[in-house]
Amino acid sequence: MILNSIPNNVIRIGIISAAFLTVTLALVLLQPDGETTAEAPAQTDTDAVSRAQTGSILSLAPQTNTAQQGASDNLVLASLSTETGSAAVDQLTAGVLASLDATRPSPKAPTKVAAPKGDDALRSLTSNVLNGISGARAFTTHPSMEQLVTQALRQGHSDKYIEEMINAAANAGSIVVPVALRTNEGRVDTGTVLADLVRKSDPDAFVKPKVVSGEDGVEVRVVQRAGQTRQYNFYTVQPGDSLGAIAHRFYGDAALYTAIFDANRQFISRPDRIRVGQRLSIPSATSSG
Amino acid sequence: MRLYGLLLASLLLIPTLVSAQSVRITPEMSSSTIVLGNGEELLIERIQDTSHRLENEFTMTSRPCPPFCISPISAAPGVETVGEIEVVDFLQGSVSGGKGLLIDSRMPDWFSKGTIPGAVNVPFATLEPNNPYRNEILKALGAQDTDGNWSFEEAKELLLFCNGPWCDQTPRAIRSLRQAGYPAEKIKFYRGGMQVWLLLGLTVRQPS
Repeated sequence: MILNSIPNNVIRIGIISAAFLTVTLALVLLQPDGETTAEAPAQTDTDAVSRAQTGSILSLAPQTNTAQQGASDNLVLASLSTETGSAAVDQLTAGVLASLDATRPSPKAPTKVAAPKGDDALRSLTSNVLNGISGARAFTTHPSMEQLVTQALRQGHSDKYIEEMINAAANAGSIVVPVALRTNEGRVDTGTVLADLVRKSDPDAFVKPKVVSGEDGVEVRVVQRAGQTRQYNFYTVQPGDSLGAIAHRFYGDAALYTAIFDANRQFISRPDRIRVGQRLSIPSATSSG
Repeated sequence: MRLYGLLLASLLLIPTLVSAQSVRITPEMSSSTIVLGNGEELLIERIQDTSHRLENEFTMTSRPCPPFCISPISAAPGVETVGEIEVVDFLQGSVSGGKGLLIDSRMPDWFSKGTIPGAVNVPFATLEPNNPYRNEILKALGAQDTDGNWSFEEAKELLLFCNGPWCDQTPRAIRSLRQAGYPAEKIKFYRGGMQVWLLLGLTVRQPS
């Protein structure tokens, strides 16, 4: 029985993946010198996956790891097989992954660019690797940055204490800090970590932040061209800013920093290398709903 | 009378003793016990049931290639390819002494299904250059970064494996490590992987 059913499944999976590869190849080859950058990631929205990863503050505890790993596995594979970043290929990937494995949480809406989530997936993978390696060294396993912050919040520590603790852990190399959450002074932007945790703990209460021109380095320009009105946002980096903080300010989600990073790649070499006084162009966050 | 009884008893015992060790790892070694740095004890032996056969996905012969293509014996120039005895020796020497790591380079869902005792999971995807956190892993492996100049003098010896000779993930991980500057003489490749390990009835551990 078992012996009979396995090859059938494998043949089916083989055919599906062969078809998928063919289509991927065709799309990659036929792809016009694509414009899939700046605005796309902003549309990613808080989708099923990021919610699954961070359902609530409390569920950030270790027991969610196994479910997360499965999802992140798919995500990493997805981002690996679509290094071109083409929206169409991404959409296909999401579809194939969903049809191959219906038991896993499939992305609710096809996402435009996998970058922020791919980054998240790689980070959670990396955290697990570090845990595994340090577990082999000694008994202690390192909690992730979010777990540390959540734990400190539960114990009622002050923001100041949390900032010191996270920075100490980051300097000791025991936690992985996304580069976008490093401020231009090299510290960990715990303010944004906290704000992001609060937002993720209650995704329904999410209100898109209102950006007001003239407020602390924010500059909004409205340009009329060929009957179209387009709004351009600019931001001048302030002391203590991180790219994540800027993304949080404009989009309400630090993970969307890649949109800003991509749009300003000619001026920024790494997400933690923003300079005070630098003027960044902020792609508009046209939420897809 | 008593002497005869003892003789008879020992004669009866001998076959059971012999059958208990009938599937040894080598003629000299029936099993291997490894004590890790944290006090954890690992036992590696072979399944003693001589009629045992595999009945899982590792009985498959014809996975489509690509992607499941047959790996050449060498993963990269200077990287030694090893077999099961060397894996056990590596656990016994390098890993228990804290100098080396046995690395399962598959993705976490495969790792969690069962792996070689003592292995840690470092998925190949986390070693690729596009992982922005790869440096953290290199540091955890013992490499030192002084302003972008990496020193691998204190870095651990690594022995990597994945699903088997048809699995590209380990060669890929080794290429990434080499590209990051990890010295070839500190990397070993167990090409047989889970496929051959299981086929020989060697102990598999479910990571907790």
